[in-house]
Amino acid sequence: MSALTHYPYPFARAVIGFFELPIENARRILPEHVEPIEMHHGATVLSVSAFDFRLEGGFEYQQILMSVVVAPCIRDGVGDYPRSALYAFAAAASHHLAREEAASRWRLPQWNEDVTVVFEEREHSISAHAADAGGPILDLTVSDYRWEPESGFYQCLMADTSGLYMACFTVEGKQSEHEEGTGMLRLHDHPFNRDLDATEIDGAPIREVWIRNGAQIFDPLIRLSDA
Amino acid sequence: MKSAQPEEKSKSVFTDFDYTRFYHYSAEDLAAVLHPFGEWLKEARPAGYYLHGQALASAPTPRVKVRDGKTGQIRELLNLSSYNYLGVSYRPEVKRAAIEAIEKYGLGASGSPILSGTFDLHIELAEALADYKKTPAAILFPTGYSANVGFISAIMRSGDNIVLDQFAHASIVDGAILSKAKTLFFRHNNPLDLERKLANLSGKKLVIVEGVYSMDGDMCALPEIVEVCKRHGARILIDEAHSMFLFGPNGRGVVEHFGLEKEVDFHLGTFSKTLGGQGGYVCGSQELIDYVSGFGRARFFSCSLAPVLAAGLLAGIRIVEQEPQLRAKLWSNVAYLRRRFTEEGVDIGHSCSQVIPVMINDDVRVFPIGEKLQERGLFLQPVVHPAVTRHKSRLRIFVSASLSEQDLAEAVDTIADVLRQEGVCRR
Repeated sequence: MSALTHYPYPFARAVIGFFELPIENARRILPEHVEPIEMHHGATVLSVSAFDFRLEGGFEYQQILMSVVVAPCIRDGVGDYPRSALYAFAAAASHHLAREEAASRWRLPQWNEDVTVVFEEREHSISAHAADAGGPILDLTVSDYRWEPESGFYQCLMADTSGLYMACFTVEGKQSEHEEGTGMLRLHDHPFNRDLDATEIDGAPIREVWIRNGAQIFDPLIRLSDA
Repeated sequence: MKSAQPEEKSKSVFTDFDYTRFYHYSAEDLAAVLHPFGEWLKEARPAGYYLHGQALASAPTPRVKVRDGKTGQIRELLNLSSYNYLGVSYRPEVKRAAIEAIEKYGLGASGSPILSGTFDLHIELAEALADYKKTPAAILFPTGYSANVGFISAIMRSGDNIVLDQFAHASIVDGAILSKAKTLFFRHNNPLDLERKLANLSGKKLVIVEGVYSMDGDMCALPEIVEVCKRHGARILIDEAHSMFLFGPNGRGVVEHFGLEKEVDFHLGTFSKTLGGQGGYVCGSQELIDYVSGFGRARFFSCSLAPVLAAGLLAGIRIVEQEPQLRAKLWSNVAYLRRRFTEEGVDIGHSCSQVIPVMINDDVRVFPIGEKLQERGLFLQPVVHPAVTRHKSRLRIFVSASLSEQDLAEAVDTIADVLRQEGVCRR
């Protein structure tokens, strides 16, 4: 490992669902030159995740994040070849400090209201219900499969008015991942979801991930291009 | 907010990736992906990917000589991997017809079918096929792949709608892409989801299914799908690559099995599976065939099927027509394997055909298990994501009528023994 600084974000649980998204919808979200992957003709992948962060020092907060799965960036200085790459286009957190760090350090586009994310854990499934003062935002449910310790290396791309950025990160934890299509996504009529045409998104996931006692470990941010 | 101490990242292993993960990438140099892919392949190939694409040094008969991808040595293995479902490709009549054709016509057709590449043998083969299928006409393509690409792009246009089963073969998907029609996928064999997809469409609609799906060996839910299509005014194309010459009282495919030959609009297939040859076809009305002949670019911008193949295929169709006992033997072999695998506690998924998946359901262990089976004398390959759903990896068996009961017993005993040692068997 290099001498670069890394930023760990431990979490108690993470719920992630991947859903088919029409390419035309993704292109309306993505900046120029960021290409959605095509899982099959005309469809890319929407990632919806909810994290229950437990940082050192007792700081706890919850976050929801929406991303489009995009083509990984391969060039000198960006690290190993990743499992996949995400373009994060909407994030919301339960605490203003988390929002400030996400926006300033990671250039994540933030929803500027406190959201509550309630995790409802059952024996073989977990749901995350996100809402703010304006009403419910989304409900995401995934089921479990086989629990194994996992570690995966990814890229996250973000853009704000100053440019396009990327951060490589590793996700570790005890993970269940499957493609049984047993979970569910419900997007409510809420401005947080304004970039998505909910009528064109099938609520049955193509892949479901549930991680317990894990961490996101971020490499420093890289600037890819100007705005 | 306080961060934890930096930690060592674990080194990635080849199982972190599959082929698809090297497909999409953005870079300043188009060669940038070559190095990471090469590095991955260095690990993946000796770890099991070498089992794919090993060279055969003999005909695809029940016992086949294979050059071991790891040692380079030629080994004789029990062949559970070749299509050739009725074992006709190496029959003396077929070889004799091919030899006679090569003596008469030479190696290839030397021309497009719409210029100088149509031979009397092609006409004879198309007529024999149409006669077998009980359709007015048929048209030939150089491969099954080009049949789908050529036919779909010949009849569908930008602004039209194509709705595919999500497990449709790549050639169907590529045909849909080339047609520029709007393309949607419905969940595998799910008429309810098909109904949902069709409900929102207006204009020309084509639904495409397969008779038997090549990864799970399950059959199309054709009666329900036909009913939904009729209700929504959608035409139906069925690809009977793995079912033609096998299913139905006369071997005319899954459409005959269900008594729906007249309800399905377009009938497509390949000669590479049951007949063990090469080439594709579409059967239908003379008007349809004339139209496809005029607009099937994948056909007329390719050289015609080699006459030697046409001759061999003609002989193959004659054998299939005259020897229905071959189908009976195949289904007897399939029944034997299904019974024995069930008795041994081997999971064969939802197969109801001659394509039998031996489910391992572990994307990492499927490779060493595949290696052990090859070491024990069986020729069959692992199938992993993305060809199948994650965690649904399997070893896929293609059953042939040529396999003897002794061959089948050897296959089951060996597979059950290895899976039991690996803790994969239910018993």
